[in-house]
Amino acid sequence: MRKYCDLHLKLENEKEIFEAAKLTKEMGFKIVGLTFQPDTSITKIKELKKVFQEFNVDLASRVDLKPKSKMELLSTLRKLRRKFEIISVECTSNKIAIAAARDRRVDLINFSLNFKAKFTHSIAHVLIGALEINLIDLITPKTSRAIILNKFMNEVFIAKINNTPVVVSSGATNPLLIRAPREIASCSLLFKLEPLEALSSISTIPSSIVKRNRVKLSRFYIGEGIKIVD
Amino acid sequence: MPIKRESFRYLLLKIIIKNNIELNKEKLQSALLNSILTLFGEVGLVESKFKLLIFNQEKNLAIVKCAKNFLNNFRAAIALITNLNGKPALIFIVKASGTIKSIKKPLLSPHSFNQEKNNKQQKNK
Repeated sequence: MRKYCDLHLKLENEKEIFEAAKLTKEMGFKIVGLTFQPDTSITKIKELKKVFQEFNVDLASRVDLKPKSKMELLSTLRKLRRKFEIISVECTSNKIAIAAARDRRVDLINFSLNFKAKFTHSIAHVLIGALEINLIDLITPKTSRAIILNKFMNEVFIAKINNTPVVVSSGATNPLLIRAPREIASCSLLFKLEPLEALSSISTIPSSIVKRNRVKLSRFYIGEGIKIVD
Repeated sequence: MPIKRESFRYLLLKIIIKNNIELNKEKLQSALLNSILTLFGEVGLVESKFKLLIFNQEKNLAIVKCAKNFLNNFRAAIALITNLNGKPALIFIVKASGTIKSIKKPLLSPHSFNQEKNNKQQKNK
């Protein structure tokens, strides 16, 4: 049975987080990524993990970076990589996009409509992590839905050519914007992902990212391919 | 000459509205129709063979019928609904089935769908 994941929830107050935990359980998610502020304490993250555990949902801590320069990106990555399980970068320019794509510490990159940066073949070619598509842009569109669908279609087209993994997540800013896994997969069919690809973009690909990072964050991990065995 | 019969899917929808505002069948139907119409156009709406069969106001559950080939498109259409009756809302598919019989159970039972599901899981254990 597939383990469905939604790696992007941007909820702030605790009441909403509790509601989201309940909803995600009802919808059938097993892993959920919740965005935290970079200065959030580890105890706070652990507390929220317990809230989600009550509903049998696994919470992965995530931080969204929006660097203005390459140097800023590298310094924040250095500070935060050991603290959060998922690191995502919103690319504001092509230079930052290429730097983020090349960096092993970046798990997901996404492209907002507000900035000039676009997902190109050159970025896809060097991308180590995965491309993230946030459905919130489509669900609550700031411009025409056709423009957003076109953007997503182009991104998926480039990703397919370069064999880049694609992760589709809801990007919900309130619990009512969370979408069920099958609904997310059906929306991904609109931007020309194949049915199996659509399902793996909300299940196997995101769960493998979380699993890989948890191994890296564990105290037994030394380096790539090296770990302490009891 | 044998003619292939059209096949349908019956879907159990759960509706969550902010502040639990009351919703009626007509408003839900128009919201669903509009969503299909804006995303897939008039041809899509005809192809969907969509029909709202039952709406339970107390439990906020509804049963909908749509063409089997249109199921994925229908899922996409309901995912794009954010408002019902002018209030923020969420609709999602709890269960999809080829017959209406199994879908009707949670609507008729006094317990909620989740309670039933949990009871079944406990029995299996």
